Amino acid sequence: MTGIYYNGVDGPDMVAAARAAGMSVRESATTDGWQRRARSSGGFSSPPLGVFWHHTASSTSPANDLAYMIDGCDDAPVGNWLVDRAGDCWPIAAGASNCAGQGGPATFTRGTIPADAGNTRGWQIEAANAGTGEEPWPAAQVDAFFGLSNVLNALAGNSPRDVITHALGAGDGWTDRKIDPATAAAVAGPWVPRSVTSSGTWSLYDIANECAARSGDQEDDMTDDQLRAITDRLDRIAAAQQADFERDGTFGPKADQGISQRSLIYDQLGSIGTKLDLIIDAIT
Amino acid sequence: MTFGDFDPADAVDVEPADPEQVAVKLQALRLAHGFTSTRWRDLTDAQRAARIALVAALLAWLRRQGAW
Repeated sequence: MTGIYYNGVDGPDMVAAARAAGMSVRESATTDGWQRRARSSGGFSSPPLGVFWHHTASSTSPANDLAYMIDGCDDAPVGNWLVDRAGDCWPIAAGASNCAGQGGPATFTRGTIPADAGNTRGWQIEAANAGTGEEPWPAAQVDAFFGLSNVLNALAGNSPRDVITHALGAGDGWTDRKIDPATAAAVAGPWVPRSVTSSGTWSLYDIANECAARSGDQEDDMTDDQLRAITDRLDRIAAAQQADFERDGTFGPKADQGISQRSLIYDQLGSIGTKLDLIIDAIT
Repeated sequence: MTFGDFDPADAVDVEPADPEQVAVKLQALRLAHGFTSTRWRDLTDAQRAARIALVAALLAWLRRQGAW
């Protein structure tokens, strides 16, 4: 057996980590053997660089989904985890799986996944949903999706923002062959992503920001006075110049939210990236 | 059973085959097609080792033939 298997023997234990983080993890006779289950190439060649977000595009029970993903599909195992509609997480494979396939490349905090290497270089989470907008995404499932993504990224030494949609989406996802995860309009609960395609693909930008927010991750700290001074400038800039701030990847999640809303940023917002500081200093 | 949007392109990757996983898959295929009634998990350690060794030799031969 070659490569890293996240089973507590050949690598860190992904199930134990998920349970320790408070995730609802369930196993069954079908999932038994997840510890040594993998695609034809075996374990991960190195710690996964990020988490791929998928939907199953199915409308069936978790048992049926798992039966397909583990035994039924000719290219099983499909994915490393299943997150069902109740928010329960089912382990499928501790080694690399088949899910992402052709696509990429994509760059993450610790490196770049080369083209067509997503299966062996990234975690694959499948969330149960038809993906057509006909069924809602329950808040509990969405919460579990974020929670599990953060657990797996932490396990591999990644940033919570090291996520990618299977769909190419706004150009920052994996492949134009797919639309998942979708649809944005069907997401229930307080967090609702923007739609970046006609199929309702979730915004990767929104996913990454929410992952970071839920993990408590921040880039840097500012005093309230510093923050207020910059937000005042932002408001004047936005009003006078109809500024269109480019996402440079260094915005804190709350700062970005404030900018996109063209509004003052109130109380206890987190961090603003250094590039924004430079832009503001240059034009004010 | 259908499963939404999975297609063969989703199974593509660039890493070489692992003898153990190929042996597991081969046993599953033999089971599915009626050539055996034993699941991988029910094989003895010696039986598994033998199958893995055979697959490893086969994969090495395929590489020498320029299969990948």
